[in-house]
Amino acid sequence: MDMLADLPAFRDLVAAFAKQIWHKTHADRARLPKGFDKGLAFDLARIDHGSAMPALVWDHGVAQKELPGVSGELPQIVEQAYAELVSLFDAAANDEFPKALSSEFIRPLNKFGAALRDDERIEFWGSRGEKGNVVYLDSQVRKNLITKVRETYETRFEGTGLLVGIDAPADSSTATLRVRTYEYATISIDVPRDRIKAEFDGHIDNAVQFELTVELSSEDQFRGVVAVHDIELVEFPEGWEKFSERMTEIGKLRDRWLDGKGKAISAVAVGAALACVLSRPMLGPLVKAFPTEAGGVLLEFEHSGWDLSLEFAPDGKAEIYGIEIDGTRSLEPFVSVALDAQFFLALDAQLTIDNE
Amino acid sequence: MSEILTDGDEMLFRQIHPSLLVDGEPASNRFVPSEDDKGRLSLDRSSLTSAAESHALYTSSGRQSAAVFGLLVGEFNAVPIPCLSDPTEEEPPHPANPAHALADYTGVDPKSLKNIAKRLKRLAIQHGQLHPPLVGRMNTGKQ
Repeated sequence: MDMLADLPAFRDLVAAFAKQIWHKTHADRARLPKGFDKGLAFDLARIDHGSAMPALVWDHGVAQKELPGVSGELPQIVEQAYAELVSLFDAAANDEFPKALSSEFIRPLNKFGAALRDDERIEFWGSRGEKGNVVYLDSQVRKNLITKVRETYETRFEGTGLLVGIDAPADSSTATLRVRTYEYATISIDVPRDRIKAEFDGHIDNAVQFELTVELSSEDQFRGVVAVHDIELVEFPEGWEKFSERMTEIGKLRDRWLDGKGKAISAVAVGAALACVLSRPMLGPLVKAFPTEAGGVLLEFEHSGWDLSLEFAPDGKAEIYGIEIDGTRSLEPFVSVALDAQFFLALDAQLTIDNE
Repeated sequence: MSEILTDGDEMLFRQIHPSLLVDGEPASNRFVPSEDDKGRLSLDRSSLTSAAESHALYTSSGRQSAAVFGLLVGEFNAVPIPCLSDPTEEEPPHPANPAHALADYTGVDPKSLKNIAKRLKRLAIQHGQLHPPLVGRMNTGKQ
């Protein structure tokens, strides 16, 4: 993850708490001292080797310069502000939330950790939560916290879809691609107008792969695209037409499809299966696709002497397992919370094995 | 009354729903009991019925089956999954089924369940589709 992108938001969160503490301890003063905000500067002292571990140091020098009269109080305020911020995340991890937060908190909170993937977390080193653990923020805690204090939240959405339309007004420098996704139906993605002629013109019904920040409601309903990090056309794998037709067929199965049993197949599971095959085109001609009774999708294929299964649960959880065809070895089920890097690592390990 | 099936060479028939059959191959999850089945997979005994009759009885109450595949009692036992006779009375809309049997998965480690189902699926494919008959496929079911 890009940890450095979170640092300004982290600073703003500490500053928001610091201001709140100042107001509480100086009830007789209506305004913050001049330069208070500027005085709360952090220096990135170093990034520790081996992981994304930025070490932040509060810059006393800036505080003394910007706040000559009050800089003596600030170390304690900053320390308390940090403690309150950590406490906010710890409480959220234990399903305890503030009733509301002002926009001064919401704005940076909405940015802090927005790029966290499902298997990543930000840990606050040296912290100790209610349960004695190192306090952390992961995508689920973040989502819960933000949606408890407001109606929507932003999150990273990496996926694939079909390009179904292009709007490129002559008087605008921005064009809009309409992309049909399985997760959120058809969404509009803005790109610079000059990319239309160079890349997307004449490619209606082609596949696109994208990386976006999107705004979702607390019920995970799509509200809009907030930022476009990447979008590009991708080649359809061999066998794609047959596979995508099969997925459409599976996606139409409704509750009780299996002789009175069987849940309707989840759009999230179908989207994950499609994205998986687009991401690993060699699977296109190999996989056989089936619905599951729980409302998920099961892909089965043979490769290098193994009979493998990829299973996508209705909530997007991805699982890989399999057996050696002419042997006794098995690949025990490996479950990932989503179609993420861990899942692809496990899948790629199987796709590259030799028949030893 | 349920009895353990002891003839390892007896074929047990499994109905395959149309959505779980692709290019003549069943999904491995068709060899895992449904949640409602309490860990027991529903089958029919070849000593008491044929694949065609089993299919006709199964679909007579509106249930769907695109094909019948089969596994030997001995193949279940090797996993190890015991098999039991389980004749059923008429329970509208389903007719009585004196050939009904169960493969009891309740002793299987849940972590191994899906891979065991994959091995059983492969064995079933080796026996071939038992009904409707396919020209050129091995057919060991009683017809």
